[in-house]
Amino acid sequence: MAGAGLWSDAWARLVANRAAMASAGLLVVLTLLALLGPLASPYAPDAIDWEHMAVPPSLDSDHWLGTDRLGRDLFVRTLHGARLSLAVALLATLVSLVIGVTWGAVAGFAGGRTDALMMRAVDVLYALPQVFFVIILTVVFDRSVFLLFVAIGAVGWLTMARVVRGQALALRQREFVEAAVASGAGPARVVFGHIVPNLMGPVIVYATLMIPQMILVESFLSFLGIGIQEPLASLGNLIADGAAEMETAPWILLVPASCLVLIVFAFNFLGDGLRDALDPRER
Amino acid sequence: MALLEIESLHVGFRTRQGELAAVRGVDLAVEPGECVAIVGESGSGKSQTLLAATGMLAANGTASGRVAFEGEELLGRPQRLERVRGAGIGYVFQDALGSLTPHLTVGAQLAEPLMVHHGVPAAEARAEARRMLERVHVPDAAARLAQYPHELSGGTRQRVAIAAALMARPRLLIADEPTTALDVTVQAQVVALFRELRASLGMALVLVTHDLGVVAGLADRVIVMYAGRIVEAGPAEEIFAAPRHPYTAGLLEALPRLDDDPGEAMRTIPGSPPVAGPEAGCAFRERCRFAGSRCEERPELAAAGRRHVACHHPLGTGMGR
Repeated sequence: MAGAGLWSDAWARLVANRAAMASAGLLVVLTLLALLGPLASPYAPDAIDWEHMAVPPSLDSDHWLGTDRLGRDLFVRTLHGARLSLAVALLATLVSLVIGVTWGAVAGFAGGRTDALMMRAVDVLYALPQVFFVIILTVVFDRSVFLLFVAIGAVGWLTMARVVRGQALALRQREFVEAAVASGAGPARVVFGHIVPNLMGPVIVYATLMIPQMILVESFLSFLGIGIQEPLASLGNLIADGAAEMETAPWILLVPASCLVLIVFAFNFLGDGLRDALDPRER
Repeated sequence: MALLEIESLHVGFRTRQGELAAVRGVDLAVEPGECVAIVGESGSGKSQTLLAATGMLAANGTASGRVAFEGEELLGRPQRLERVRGAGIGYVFQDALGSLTPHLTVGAQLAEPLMVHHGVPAAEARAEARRMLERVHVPDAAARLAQYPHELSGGTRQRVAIAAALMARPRLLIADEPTTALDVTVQAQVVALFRELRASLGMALVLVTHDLGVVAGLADRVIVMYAGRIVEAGPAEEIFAAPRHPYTAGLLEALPRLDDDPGEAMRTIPGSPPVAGPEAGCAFRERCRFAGSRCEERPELAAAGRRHVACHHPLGTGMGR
C-alpha cells in the first residue's frame, strides 16, 4: 500500500476490471454521440421525410436506423432521446445525492432523537406510492422537463439517506471523529469535513446504480405519457411509440429499446466494478 | 488560579440496566505547566473524568459538578467548549491510526485546527504544520505532509497525532493512554518527546494511563483512581517511594522488575474492580489485605501534608495492620 493513496489504489483495481472499463468506454462513446451525433446527421429530430415513412434500417439509405411512421429519422431521434434520458437521470441522481447525503449524514451524526425524527420522516415518505407522487406533482405543477428532474430526484433520495445514515452512524463511533471534535471542529465541519468524505465510496457506488433506475423511471413515466412529450424524444416515449408499431415495424421499438438496455447495462457493470474497487475486502 | 479546575464531578451513564455511576465526585486541579498523571485500572473512571470535563461524553452520559478552564465554567456550555477544545485543551488518544482521519493528508489534518481556531490562511497553516512535525521529530517532515495516515508507521502516527493536538498551541494537553498501543522502544521515545515538548512549549500535561513506568518518567503529581473516586494523590516521587493506599501499593507491586525470579508468577491484585452500582463502604475493601470493620463506612479523601489518601488503614503510618 505504501506510496499509494486510498483513491489511486481503488483506481488501479477499477482499471483492472474489464467489464467496468468496457462499460465506462461505452458510456463515454454514447454520451459523445448523444451530444454530437445529431449534428452529423442531415435530419432534424422532428423533420418529416415524406418520401421515407417507416423504412427499415439500412446502410444504403440516409436513414441508417430507419424512420418511424411519420418519416422521422430514428438515429437522430434515439440519440436525442438518449441525451434527454441521460440528462434527466444524471440531474435526478444529483438532486437525490445532495438531499440524501446531507439528510443521512446529519441524522447519523446527530443520533438520538434528531436521528429518530429524521429517519421516521423518511419512512413515511417511503410508504407513499412514489410513482403516484410524481404523477401528482406533474399534474399539479404542469408538465415540464425541469420539474421531472426534481420530482424523480426528490423521490429517489430516500434510499440514499438510509445508506448514508447507516454509514455515518458507524463512522461517528470512530476515534478520528472524536479526535476532530477534540480539536475544536464544530458539528458542520465534523459532518462535512470528516464523515461525509469517508462514506463517499458506498455513495458513489450507489449513485452509479441509481442512474439506470432513474432512466427507467423517466422512461416509465414518458411511456405512460406524463414524462417527456412529443415532439421531444426520450427513450421512454420512443419505446412507447415503437410498442404501438411492434408487429408491422419492429425496428421502431428495437432501436431505442437497445439503446436503453445498453445504457442500463453499462451503468450497472460500472457500479459493480466501482463497488469492488472501493471495497478492498472484495478482492 | 489553576488552569483546569474540576470540583465534585459526577459522571453517569443511562443504560438498559439503569443509571451507572462512572465517576463519583472527583476534585482535581491542574496548575499551568504542571504534569499530572491519573492512574487506575480500566473502568476506574479516569478517562471519563476528562471526557466529561471537555464535553465529549458519549450520548447517554451525563455530567454534573463544576469544571472551569482558566476560570471559565465549561460544563454544559457547548459553544465555549468548542472554542476551548483544540485551542485551550489539546487531546491525544490511544489509537493514533484511529484518531487520524483516513482520507485527509497529514498536512490537511494538521492545518485544520489552526484554520478553525485562528483563521490562519491555508499556506501559512501548512508551513506551521511542517514546523510542528519537525518539533515532534518526524523525519522528512515536508514529504510527510502529503502522505495519508495509513502510510505511516505506528510511532510516526502517534507523533503526528501529538503534533495535531499541539497545532493551536493549547495550554493543556490531555493524553489518554498515549503509549499503550505502541511497542516498548517507541513508548520510551514518546515519553521522551512529551518531556521535551513540555520543556519547550511550557504547556500543562494530564496523562491518563495504567502504565506506572510512563508516569514515573514524566509526572510531577500522581492521582490514583479506583471505582470512580480518587483514592490517593500526591507528588510522584513520594507516592512511588511510599504508597499509602493499599491499592496504590498493589499497583506498584504488580510492576515486573528486572530482578524478579523468572520462574515466579507475576504479582497481581486479587479480584476485580466492583461493577458500577450503588456503593457501600470502601470500594476496595473486598480486594484489600487490611480491610476491617471500619471499611464498611466509606473513607473520605483526607489530606496529610502534600498527600491525600482515602483509607481507614493507610500504609506506613502505623495505622495499617
